[in-house]
Amino acid sequence: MISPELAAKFPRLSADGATETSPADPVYNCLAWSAKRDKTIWWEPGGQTGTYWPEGVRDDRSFECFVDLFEKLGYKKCNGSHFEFFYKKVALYSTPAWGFSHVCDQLNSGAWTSKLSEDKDIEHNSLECLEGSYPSEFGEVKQILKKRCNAVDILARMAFNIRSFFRR
Amino acid sequence: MGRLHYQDFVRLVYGASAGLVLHRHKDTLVASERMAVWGREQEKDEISFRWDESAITKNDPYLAISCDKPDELPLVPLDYATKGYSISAEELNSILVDEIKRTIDAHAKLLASTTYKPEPNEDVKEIETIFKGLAKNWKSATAGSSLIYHRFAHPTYHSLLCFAKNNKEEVITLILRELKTNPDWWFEALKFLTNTDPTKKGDNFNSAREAWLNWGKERI
Repeated sequence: MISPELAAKFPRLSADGATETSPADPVYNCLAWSAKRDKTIWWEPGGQTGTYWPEGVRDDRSFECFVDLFEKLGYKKCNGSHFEFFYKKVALYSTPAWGFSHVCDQLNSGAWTSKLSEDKDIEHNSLECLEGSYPSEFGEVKQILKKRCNAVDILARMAFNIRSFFRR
Repeated sequence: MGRLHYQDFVRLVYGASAGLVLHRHKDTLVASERMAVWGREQEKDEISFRWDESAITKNDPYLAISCDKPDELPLVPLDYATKGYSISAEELNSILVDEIKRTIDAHAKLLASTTYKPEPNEDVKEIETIFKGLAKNWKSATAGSSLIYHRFAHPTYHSLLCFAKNNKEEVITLILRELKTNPDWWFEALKFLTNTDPTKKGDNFNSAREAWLNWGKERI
């Protein structure tokens, strides 16, 4: 379930079956969440007070600098947001005017997780449910990247599949 | 035409996206916004005007659109802010300038004819009302932004800094109170207004907030 406030900002979230998974928090953003599950600091290029950007990553605020961030974390550009058992994926959203606008990453279940600006974390089933007019929505998905899962992720995915099998 | 002056940019953009209701506060022209849907409005192909002269009220100001030295203010270059909101200066000017001039003139006449004179002790209250309106507008218009610099490019943020430049001490205090009770990313505005920075490199939101609240604890 999502709150009426969130449903008003993202009209397609309800139909998607999205759920809220954390309270609102201004300390971290979608980049911190999807890059490192970091809830301690806001990731952003430019050096503003209270923010963090990894050394050695482009910081010119172009869309490519956000792609560079995930490439430095081991991701490679790919096509297709479909679930691949041995790969973790991230989806970068963009608008023509602003460039990068949002990132979310794929969970072991195949659903996606997003930190919405200063708002809540959510789990959602499609990427399209966050698309639309920025800044309330995030434009459209421009780039998918993926990297091979580590052993822990693979075990978690196996466990998820086994649980799902017995639930059926 | 060449580059649009920043002050005109703010005026034109808000003329395009909102019904403006103006009144004068000291040297600043203040407007209330009737339609705070900036982010969506600029996506439309057609721009419509909503203008309501009967709605003028000193208690509902939202937007300051003028200041002493606007060129000193932008934290984001004009062409970037323009680009960010998908409206070129030339497009804006060709579509809107006549209409805006007409409406500004109409309000100037109206303001000249008004008999309202603020009491001396109304000033501080009015500054607080204007600040709160601008802050509320900025927060709601940019609440979905994933990056802070997108929020800093919003015209209301610049309007708020314009207004703060003319009422510096009062607004610094109001921002510190806002930071305490309703935390948001006010650090760059405070740095800009105070010419100081009590935060340390590597501070996150909470530690930067703590540093500023300690810095200004006697003012809150």
